[in-house]
Amino acid sequence: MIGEFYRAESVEQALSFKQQHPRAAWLAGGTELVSVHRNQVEAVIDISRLPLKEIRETADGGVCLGALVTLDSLAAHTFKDSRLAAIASAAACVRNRNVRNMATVGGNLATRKASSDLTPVLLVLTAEAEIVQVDGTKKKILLKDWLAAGDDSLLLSVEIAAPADHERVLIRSFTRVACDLALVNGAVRVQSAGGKIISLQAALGCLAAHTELFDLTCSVIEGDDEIALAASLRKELATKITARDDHRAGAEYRLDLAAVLVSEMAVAALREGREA
Amino acid sequence: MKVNFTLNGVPRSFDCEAWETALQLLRRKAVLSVKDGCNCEGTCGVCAVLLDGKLVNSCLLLAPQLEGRDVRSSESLALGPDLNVLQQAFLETGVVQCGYCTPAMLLAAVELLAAHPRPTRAQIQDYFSGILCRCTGYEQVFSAIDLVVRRVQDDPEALFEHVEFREDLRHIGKVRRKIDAAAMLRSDPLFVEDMLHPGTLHLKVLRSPHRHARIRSLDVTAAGSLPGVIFIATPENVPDVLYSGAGQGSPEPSPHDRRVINRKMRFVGDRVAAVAAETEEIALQALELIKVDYEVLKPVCSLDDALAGQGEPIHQEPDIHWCFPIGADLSRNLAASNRGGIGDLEQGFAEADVVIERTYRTGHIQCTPIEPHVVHTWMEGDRLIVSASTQVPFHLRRLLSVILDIPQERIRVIKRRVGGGFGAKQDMVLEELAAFVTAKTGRPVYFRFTREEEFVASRTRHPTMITVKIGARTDGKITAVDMTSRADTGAYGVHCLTVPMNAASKSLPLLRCPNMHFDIEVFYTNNVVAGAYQGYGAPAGSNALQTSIAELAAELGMDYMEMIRKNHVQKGDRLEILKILGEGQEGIPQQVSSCGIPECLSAGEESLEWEKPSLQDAERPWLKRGKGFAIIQQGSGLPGLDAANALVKMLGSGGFHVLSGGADLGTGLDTICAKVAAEVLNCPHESISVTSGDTDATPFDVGAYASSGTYFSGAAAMRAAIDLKRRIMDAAADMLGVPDTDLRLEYPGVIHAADGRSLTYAQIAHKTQSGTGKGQLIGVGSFTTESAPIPYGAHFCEVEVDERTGHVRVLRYHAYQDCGTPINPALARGQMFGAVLKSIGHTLYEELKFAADGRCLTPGFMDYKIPGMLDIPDDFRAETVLIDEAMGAFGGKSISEIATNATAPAIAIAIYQACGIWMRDWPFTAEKVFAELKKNTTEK
Repeated sequence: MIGEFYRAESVEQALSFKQQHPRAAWLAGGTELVSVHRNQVEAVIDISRLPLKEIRETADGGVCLGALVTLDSLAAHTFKDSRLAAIASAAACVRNRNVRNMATVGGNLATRKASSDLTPVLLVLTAEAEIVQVDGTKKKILLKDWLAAGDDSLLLSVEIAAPADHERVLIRSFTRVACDLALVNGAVRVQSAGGKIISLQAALGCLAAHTELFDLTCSVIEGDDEIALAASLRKELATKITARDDHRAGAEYRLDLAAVLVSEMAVAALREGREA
Repeated sequence: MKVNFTLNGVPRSFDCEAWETALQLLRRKAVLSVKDGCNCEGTCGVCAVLLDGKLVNSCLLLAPQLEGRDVRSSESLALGPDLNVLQQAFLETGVVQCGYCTPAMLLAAVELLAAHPRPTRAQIQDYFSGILCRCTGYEQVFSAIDLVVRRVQDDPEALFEHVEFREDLRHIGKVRRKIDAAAMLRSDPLFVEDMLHPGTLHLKVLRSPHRHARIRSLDVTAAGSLPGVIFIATPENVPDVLYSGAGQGSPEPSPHDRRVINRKMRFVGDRVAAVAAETEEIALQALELIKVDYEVLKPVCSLDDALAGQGEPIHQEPDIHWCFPIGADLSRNLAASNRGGIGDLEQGFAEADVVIERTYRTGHIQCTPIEPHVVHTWMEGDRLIVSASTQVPFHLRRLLSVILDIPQERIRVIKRRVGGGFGAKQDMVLEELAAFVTAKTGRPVYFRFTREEEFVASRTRHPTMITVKIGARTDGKITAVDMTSRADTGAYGVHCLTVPMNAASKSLPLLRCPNMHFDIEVFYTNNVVAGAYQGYGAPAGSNALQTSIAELAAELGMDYMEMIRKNHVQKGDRLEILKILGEGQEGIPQQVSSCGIPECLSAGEESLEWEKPSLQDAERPWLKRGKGFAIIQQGSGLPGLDAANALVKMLGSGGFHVLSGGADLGTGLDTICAKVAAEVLNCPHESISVTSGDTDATPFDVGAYASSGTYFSGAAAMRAAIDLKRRIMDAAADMLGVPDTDLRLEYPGVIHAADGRSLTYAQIAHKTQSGTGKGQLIGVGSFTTESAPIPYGAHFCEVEVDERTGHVRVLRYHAYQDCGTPINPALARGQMFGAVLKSIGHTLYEELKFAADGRCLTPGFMDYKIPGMLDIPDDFRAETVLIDEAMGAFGGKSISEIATNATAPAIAIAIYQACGIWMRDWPFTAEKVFAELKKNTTEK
């Protein structure tokens, strides 16, 4: 049970609290911590007032998301580079507005849950995490590495470079009802040229314990035959991952869904590329 | 620690704990509009507040996080006693039913309209997406928002466009305010949890971790010595009385098969012990100190296990009691059985050109009222007072009297506003335990289920397996139907006979078939307890029968509509089959007094363009569309079993107070009583107030179940009003010195004599209550009957199946129902929308799942999904057709339960039309549909 509450007004103060109370948990939007972990946490450091709520376009055409940007703000954001709109779409996958109003970019990532709606799109975009360690050291590392580390560092922002001209990024999510954790969610980054896909990278959530990144074969993507592509991807995915089997969905079905989502995104990306 | 924030415009400073949620703090500080429906999971949204203008769940905020913020709850909306424009729009459009989620919905509308003064449908759905409502089906929210937009943006006098019925009547068939809605919109304290006594003990239950076990030893020493623990109930100190918790008419057709706490555990979640303590935290801490040694027994895990004769007998008490035989055989865990029929089945099948036999299955689904089960008990002198969220206050009093050995006159049950019932609150699920502790300790007790307890220890719908053998001639005439039902009642037998019986009694009489037979067996298992749920067994029976007819039509190559029109029941038919489909005793055959099936079929046929195939998506050939429909019936109470009573008192002002024994669950029953009284007494609707469901203040009524409200409780109120009107005319005749035949009553309650003199109700009231007249005029009405009108309907839908994933989307749903005279059209539509959306959830995704050891895997809204506003059909209609009906209060039949019966078969038929597969195992989850599609492809 939470016994202590520390309200941080600055990053420095937040770190100071953390140094004094190493077991204290960071509290941002609270949708995960208060809901799921309230009884396991002894102390919290409220970081919701820190000045990390900005969405900033970077000089190279990318974007920097403050860790405390709410999912609702992100979902409503219009990106200069329309190919980054997939980030907003991913935030909008949290269909429950009450939760979207509270939940933050940092919180959605820091839970390191396979059902995170932002993680797949940020992984395929090779996002970087700006973090500050408890001792005050700031650094930028690949988001992928930060997620894998699972340490106590404080996420300050996530920086995403603009995709190359011939690249498209899309997201999809499959849920039972609108407001639900996905049975499978994912994002793809597709490079295409001459009306053909050159490379297909996918990040898929909810298939396993963590969101997984895959480089997938795209040999059958000659035309726009989603069904044929899905069948091919289904076989390939089965060799690359053992899907989870739980009360929400069986493993085989999850793989079927994943293949369908990826093929749909790939074909859509191909069409976008042609139109562009 | 201190937290300072602005609450509803006023700077406030409160002490709070670090662990405390904003929800807990606000409720502690009497901001009672914030509710808890999901135990801080953050999934139901009824705790919502506006935080700096944004709608957030207060259960997901720690109280200290409110520091310096602006917090608005729905208490801020009302303007003194008056409603603001938003609340008024909600009132007029019939959005409010039970009222539990209403405060959160109002705040969602505030945030919406601040951002989008003229919102689109999609924006409305988005802003309401975080709030779960189990009553309304959300559709009328669009009307409310439209009305408020027009009034704010265009014309303050803008009116709500609505359909009205019965030009011959002033109030009946017209839209009038729901009598209890204003208080709900103002967030007044109305629910059990809003009115707790100081010094109340908190009750918590230790539940069995085993499916089937005997308690070898139970040590509560450590728990009992914990400071703050006041009492611990165990199998050893509870009353040694066997009972059934079923809230049914006495003698009930349910076995008396349980004690308050049993020595034998029969499902994961069964009561082991209960701790009453000064705080909830202490009670929970004490539970962890209780030591139990179990002897684990072999369980019966499913209906299939029970049918295979696996596991040990679950009930072996020598003193188990049945009020009358219901066909039980405890040696094979058979809780109840019945069979019978009409005509000659063999001959009927011999006459058929085509005979098919199909089996349909349903699983565990849960009622999920957003307000969980809750009770507050205390003593007043030697009287036990029970403040309950119940559908059956009078049955509850009777059951408590028997269990606690307290005479009924020393028990008062007060039904508060009920935050959704749907059948789950037809049973005594937790009240007897709290009442027992209060009787034992003399202390007030509060017992509220967590959401998880609601899933595992409340009531579910019976899982069923129904096999239908059905035959027809090539011309489509059905010649024989044989329905075999097997059901799982779980650990105890509440409603074990009646629910499965309804699968037959609310489906077979829809057909004009001379040869019909049913065979029902209901088994005990070591599963969660099944019980009453809106529709009883009718949805399962309706699904099996209607889908089998559609399958038969497909075999015959005949249009399903043509087949239904050839076979459905019609006005004037005599339903002999009802004689053998009684509630455990012989039933009463009924004459069909009115039947709106033809009108409902025509309405749906036209609106959904039944004769035209669905338009397919050429761009996305994997999306397949199809249409389906089903005809339906229910009942209007239980003739020969149900009873209702009411009083109408004339007040000193000339207004009236109706005292109805009926139990309004948010369904609008109190409003119906007010409307029939106002119609009979020819006075304004606003002149009537209603008190209902209080065993001290109101006369007896069986309560709200079996669709009895409008027909029984409404008729009792009507008879009381007629009786009072006679007394008023008598008094007026005396006062004017003329025979009452010379008097006529005119609106608004003025009595005119032939000589031109007149008296107002206020004058008559003054005279009769001033010491010289006849005394206060009170009308008395009782209603029992041997006959009841049957409501009918037809629901149509169009679905889209994604063959790549099995996902089914309901594009259009048009529900048409014959409820005789719609007494209150807006509320009637609300009942239909709510029941249909709930049934869409049941049909497509709602499912309780259990681990092999019996643990519930879906104990919250995160896992057990119910429809939100984003899940409603794009084109969602609910309409009543006016059918002339002679019985009942102004010809009103029931409206709500029936609306749960069509969805599964209509969707199953639409799926078949779309992609050629028959779904026979509901819910038709995407995964199951996908598997069936795959199987179909492989077979081809």
